[in-house]
Amino acid sequence: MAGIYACEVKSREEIAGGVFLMGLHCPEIAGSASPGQFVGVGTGSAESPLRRPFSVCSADAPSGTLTIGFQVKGKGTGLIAAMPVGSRVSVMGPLGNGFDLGRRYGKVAVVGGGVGVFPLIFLLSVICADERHAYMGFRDSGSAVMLEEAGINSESLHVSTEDGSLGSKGFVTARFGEELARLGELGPDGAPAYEAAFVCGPRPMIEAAAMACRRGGVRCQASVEERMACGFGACLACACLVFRGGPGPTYKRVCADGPVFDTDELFPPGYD
Amino acid sequence: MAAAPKAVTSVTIAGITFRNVVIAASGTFGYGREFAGFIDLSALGGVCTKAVTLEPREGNPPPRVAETPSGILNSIGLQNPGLEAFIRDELPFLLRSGTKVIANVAGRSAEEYAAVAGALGGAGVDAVELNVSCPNVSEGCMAFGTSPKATERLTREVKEACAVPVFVKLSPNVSDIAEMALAAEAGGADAITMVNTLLGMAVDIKTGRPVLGNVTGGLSGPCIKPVALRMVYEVCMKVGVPVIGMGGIAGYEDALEFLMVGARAVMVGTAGLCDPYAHIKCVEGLERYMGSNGIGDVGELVGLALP
Repeated sequence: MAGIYACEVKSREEIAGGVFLMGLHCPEIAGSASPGQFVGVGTGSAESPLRRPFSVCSADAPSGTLTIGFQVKGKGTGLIAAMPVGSRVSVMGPLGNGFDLGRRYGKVAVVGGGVGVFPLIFLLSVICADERHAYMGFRDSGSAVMLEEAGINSESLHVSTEDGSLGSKGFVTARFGEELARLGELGPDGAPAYEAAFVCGPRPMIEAAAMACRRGGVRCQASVEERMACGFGACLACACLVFRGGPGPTYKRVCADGPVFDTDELFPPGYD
Repeated sequence: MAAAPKAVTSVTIAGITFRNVVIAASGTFGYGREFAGFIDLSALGGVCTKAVTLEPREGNPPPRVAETPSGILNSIGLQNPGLEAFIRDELPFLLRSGTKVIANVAGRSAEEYAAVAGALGGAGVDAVELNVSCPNVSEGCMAFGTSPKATERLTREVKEACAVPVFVKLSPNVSDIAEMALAAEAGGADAITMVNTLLGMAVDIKTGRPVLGNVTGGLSGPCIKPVALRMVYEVCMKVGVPVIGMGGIAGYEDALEFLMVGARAVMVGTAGLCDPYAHIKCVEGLERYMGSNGIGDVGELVGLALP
């Protein structure tokens, strides 16, 4: 159950241009959040009344520390990024439904783009899986973040940048698609390369990863983003077209029905 | 020493006694379930539901929300599961919650309003609120609420079809809101609720495109409070039926201002999206204010600022 807490800012670091990692003392959320869930952080300013939704990047129950990662996009995120260590911030959470981690997996892949890597870093650190392959994509080497954390908690790490300044050149989904095909051919006939894939990033990236998974027979879950108001399901602002339990799509709430959806619900069979 | 008599915080409007003067505003409270995870709904004066239409509505394409200075633009577009599903799946929860339930009703035609209001009146709601002011749909709603004749006729038709009190929610997007209020009163409205959102828009300067998927949206939040307050003041000087005021109420001080210009109760909307405890804080703030100022009945505050 979500609550609202006045949390002390324990750490704040700009880990790439305009991208911040913030540690918050919040034992209640740190003890209950799961990967893919998010928190709503108040801006502290009446002029920017809405909370900003940020993915949980790590949740350490023993120390009560919750880490969020986010990019400064406008006024509200700028205000939050400017909060000094030691100040208090209003945090609502944990919110939404996270990735399906309620069982042991065989070989899994995570595919993250840009600041979409944050919830996947949390996932990599807690998932029960035989093998974890991480695919991380960024615009360029200057915007690459969380690679050390991804490396520590995976058996294999693939980095891509659009300009080729770090890792392979091109979109991370191209790299993921190639690997998926290669591993599929190596394995026994008809067996998918991965048991599951977990994706977060810009919408076109999610779509490309979902299509690669469909071709490779891999179940794919994605955390999606939409402009949000309340964050707890009351206002219906963060609508996302979802194909679930009916012939056509209906608008679901990213905050309360998501933010994680099975990609077959976002891009139904026949979509491609 | 005898204890001081407990102050009267309740208010009776159209025969309905609300436990206190703070009611959750339509469209910002869903059908109550999400807020029930944070607060006890029975501690509110009442709950006004998200709009209900005869058939299910999908709502508008996203993005549906944009923040503006001290405000929010929204264009949800009356997304709702339709009358039948509302009565079956949502209403029982609200009726059990121990608070007064006002059902917000929208439609494309007078017949639709009358059918929905009539059915809801028979399904146990305490009152219906005619939404003649949603700015985010192409048919009905604001088309009724921007014409005095249409407002009066619609109110009368719904009154004939509906067994419970009928409130009419006015739009601020008119040149003379008192004229609309008088029309609703002439049509038999039991109360007037005001104001709905102000029509507005925002542009993304990076793309050069409107932020909202529906281009325009309704503005709410603290930025509209002075406008809403002025309109409630104007209407309270003209009409005899009770007025329930809203528009940018974020704390009990704002609620007091609305009471002082003549509103008998208030609705809190956008503030609850940022802080789900906002309504309760407003209730508690009003009680403290009454205690420290020796106000024995909240009704004593109503209209203090009127000439």
